[in-house]
Amino acid sequence: MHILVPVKRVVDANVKVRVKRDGSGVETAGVKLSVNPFDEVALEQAIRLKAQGLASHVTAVTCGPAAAQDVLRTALAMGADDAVLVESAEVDDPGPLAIARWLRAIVAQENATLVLCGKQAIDDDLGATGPMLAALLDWPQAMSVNQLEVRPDNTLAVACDADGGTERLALPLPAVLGVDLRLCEPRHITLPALMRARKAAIRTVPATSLADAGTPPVRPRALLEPPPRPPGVRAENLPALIERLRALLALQAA
Amino acid sequence: MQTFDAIVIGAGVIGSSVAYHLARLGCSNVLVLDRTQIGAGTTAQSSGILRTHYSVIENVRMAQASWRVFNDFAGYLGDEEASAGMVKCGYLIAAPDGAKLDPLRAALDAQQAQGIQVRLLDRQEAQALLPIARFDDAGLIGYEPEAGFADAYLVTTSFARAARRLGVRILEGVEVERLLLENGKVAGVETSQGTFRASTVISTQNIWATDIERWTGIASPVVPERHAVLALEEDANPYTFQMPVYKDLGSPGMLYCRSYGGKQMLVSEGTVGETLATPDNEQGDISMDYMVEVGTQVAERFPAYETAGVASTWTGVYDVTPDWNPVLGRLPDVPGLVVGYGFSGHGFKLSPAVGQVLAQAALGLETEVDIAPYSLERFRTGGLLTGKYGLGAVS
Repeated sequence: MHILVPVKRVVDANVKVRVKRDGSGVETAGVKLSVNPFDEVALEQAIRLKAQGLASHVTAVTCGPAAAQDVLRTALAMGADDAVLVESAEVDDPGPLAIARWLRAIVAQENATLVLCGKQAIDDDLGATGPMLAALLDWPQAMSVNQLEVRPDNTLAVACDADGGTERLALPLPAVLGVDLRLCEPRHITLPALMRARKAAIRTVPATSLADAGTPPVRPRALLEPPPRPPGVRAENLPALIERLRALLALQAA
Repeated sequence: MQTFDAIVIGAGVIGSSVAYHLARLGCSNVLVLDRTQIGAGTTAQSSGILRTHYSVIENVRMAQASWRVFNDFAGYLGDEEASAGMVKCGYLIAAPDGAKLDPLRAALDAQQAQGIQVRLLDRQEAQALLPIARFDDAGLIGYEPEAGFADAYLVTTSFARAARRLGVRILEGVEVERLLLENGKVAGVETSQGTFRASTVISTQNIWATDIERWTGIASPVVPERHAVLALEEDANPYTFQMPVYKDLGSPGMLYCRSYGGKQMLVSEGTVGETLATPDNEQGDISMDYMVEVGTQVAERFPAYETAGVASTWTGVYDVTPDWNPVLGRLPDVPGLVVGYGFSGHGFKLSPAVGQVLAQAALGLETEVDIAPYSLERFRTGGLLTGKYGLGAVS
């Protein structure tokens, strides 16, 4: 089983996200960028499956400009066997459909039989790429996977978060899985692994050679900072507080 | 419009300490303004090391006075719930034979002359205290048992709470836009929430102290410099709370290390960092190359950490002056304005004493420790407070 793990380079979870002055996007200059935490979990799971002898090869892939290689080096340091950069232009987010099209081409090139990805990226929280990729490949998919077992007959048994509780699904391979943070705890990268990954070769494929990105079906109109939260109100005493609460519309309706 | 006896700009560890000390000295009609939240700026990024080891004697005195406060923090604040989060694990500093040896010897002698308990250790003694490090190249090892590290955020919130209890008002989310001057004297501040009047304003703005230059035309020689910190984990060889803080003068980056959570090693370089064009304490990127650079130095000193895992990384920003020491006191050209900035990465360990002397200076009282050497004039007159270890936060 050859596992493909798509990873996305995102603004680190500890950074306060700011909109660029001209409103054209999120400020990334000089800001800490990291592997999307959901993708890190997918990587960890893939590496564990290989360590258990259930997978033969783990390939990490990312789409973006040359600088996006950073996340591939992190993936290699964690234990991915090799890494592919689908190089696209610096400008404009290509959107999930274009990325799913490029990934479909990579899946074919690599003969991957399982795509393990994060269920969403923490920057746009869309969660669209995995399902789109599964649809393009016409493979079964499971999203929000928090338990995974590879059965002796080479089918997958997964548990997923669903509206009504936990869904238990069985899937044949090949398949696309979008993983939740609870699936497993990503390992720490060790210093020797960092040193190796720093020098490792990364294959680069121009995005244009894979598939036509097409016109994104969704186009952002504007990007705005959320309005500042109004300050809290201090009640003089308990009766005043109760009075204020009584006046709240939400409580009146009840 | 509200009038106060004094306004403090910035509720980091220094500003909160100033506010508390003003109230402690009887001046409680004080307003503290912070652009974000108490302790949320560069304070929250402090590595929190407490020591009195300095090569500049003025800093030794200031650190000594501060240590007494940290050592009995709840008692000093009169608040039994106050905590500095202190881990009194001691401070170990070592240099191999070479250029750093004489300055180290001189600094240790000067500490002893100040009545600070400092001992010279042989290699075996040092090894016993910090078994995960190697000392076979050490030419001189100093040990300060009354030292360790604490939590800068806890200290700040404790100062702020104690100040509030004494009547100080602290407002968060208020941006000071302009210093109000009347006849050349301080009259208050204009802010995003309106005007507040006071004839004394104390600026403790750290990397944002360049505002002073914008408001008064008086140069504030401070640049924001970003430094990276790594937390390393080596399961079989934890860096425990019993192990001392360690300063490695022999490594190219003059590493400092301490226990992190009783298990991991917090490590950073004690040299020059990345200069930022504008003041910003947002988390910066730490390149893989840099992690390898620091990791290699760690492995050199701590052989078991050669295969350590990188548990987390973060950045903090220093407000660095040309001699890596702060500017403290009144600005004579602007009556009513008192400043405390440029702590260059070692402000936390001085924060209790700095808060006290700035409060005293603001109230026109004699200061506990002489702050004349920290005046802004020194950059003009040449009386710099340059440390003997070169540029860096040991000072």
